Amino acid sequence: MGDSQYSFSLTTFSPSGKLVQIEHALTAVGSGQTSLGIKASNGVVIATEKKLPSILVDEASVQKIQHLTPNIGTVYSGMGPDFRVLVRKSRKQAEQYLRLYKEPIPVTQLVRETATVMQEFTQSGGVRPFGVSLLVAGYDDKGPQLYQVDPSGSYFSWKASAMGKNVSNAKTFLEKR
Amino acid sequence: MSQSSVDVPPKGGFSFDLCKRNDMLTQKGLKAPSFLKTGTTIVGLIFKDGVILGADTRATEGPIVADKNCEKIHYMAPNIYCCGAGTAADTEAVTDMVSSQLRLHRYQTGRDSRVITALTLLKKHLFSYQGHVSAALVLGGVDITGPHLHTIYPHGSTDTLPFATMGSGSLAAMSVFEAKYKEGLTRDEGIKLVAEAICSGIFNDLGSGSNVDICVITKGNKEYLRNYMEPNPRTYVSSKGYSFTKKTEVLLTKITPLSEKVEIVEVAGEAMEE
Repeated sequence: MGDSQYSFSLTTFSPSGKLVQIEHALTAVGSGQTSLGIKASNGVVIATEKKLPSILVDEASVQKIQHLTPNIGTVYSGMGPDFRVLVRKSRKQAEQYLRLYKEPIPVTQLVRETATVMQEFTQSGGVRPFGVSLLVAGYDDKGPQLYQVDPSGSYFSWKASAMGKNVSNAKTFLEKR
Repeated sequence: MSQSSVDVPPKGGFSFDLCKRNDMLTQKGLKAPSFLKTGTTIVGLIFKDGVILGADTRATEGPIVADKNCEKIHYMAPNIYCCGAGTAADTEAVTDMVSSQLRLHRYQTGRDSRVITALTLLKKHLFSYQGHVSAALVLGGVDITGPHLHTIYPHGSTDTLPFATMGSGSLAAMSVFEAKYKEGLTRDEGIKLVAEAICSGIFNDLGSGSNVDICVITKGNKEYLRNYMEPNPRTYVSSKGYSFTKKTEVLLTKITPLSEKVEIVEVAGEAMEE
């Protein structure tokens, strides 16, 4: 029995120990438009390629980089609609945190809660993982921070990172510089 | 029929189980806990360029002044402020909750909040609690459609007015407004009138007192003048102190520590990684 026989059911491990749906989600991310982020000593920069399907599309209406709080922003590679849903959930969580603790949510907390949401969708019935990887950039009292969150729900802190198409070229470039 | 956990709102209709329980307890002789009420005079008026809100700063608990300088003008949005009368906890909680909802809404829409949005969120909440949330509010702000001033009653009804007063001192303040309000007031005239109305409440109503807070909201700008006027300055104990003529002589001074002092030395180590 090969891996492919396990690729339909998200919540079943394959014999090689992988969740094949998540691998597929990462493929979806890998074919999305490039986005990257760099952490500087006094801030973070995130950027993405905004390639529209046709010149007729109203360029101002497409927002690939979104605010989650006044000091945390995010960009994605992968499926736009999934990104919209995640942004909405994250904003609500940030707001609930602020209401409860009267403190702007620290970047790590927001990243963790977003990652938890993404992980929930890898362990529930009848849903599929999000087809986006997020780069979350924020500045709080611990200074500038940059995190990448994957469809599996794992997150890492990066000094510089890239995702999407041509990621290997982008990462080589970042490593050099 | 047993009730499931309180967190989940029951489907269909309101649940007044706790009200029945409270009635039963008062019948059995249990005195209900007294609320921290805000007696209060709160006012608002629309002037040439926007809205001016005013409030006194006394919070009462029955006959006692619980807070001599409390803040009754609550932030709702950068362009909307709300004065609250009634139970202090209720006004705080309700304005806090709606302010949070408005902030989330601003993120989603990318636009400034409208006063009417705040109004609708507030009245929806108050109505669903059928007047048990004792919050009477004066909501004012300037949005894209212009300056607005509304009053909201604890049961959820609202009024839209050019000038408004609420609270126990509302009659005293309203008399000032009715006599002197006119359309097209300038900023200084408006502030003077609001201060006069609040002072009238402070001096003539027992539930209101202390200082005057004012908030001026215009298009694209707001000024929160905390303690704009302090007509009741508090005289403190003289810094010279008291002098007593006859003193008791000190014969012996002996200090015995009750417990041993322990020195705590912090060992530099790794902080817990998340």
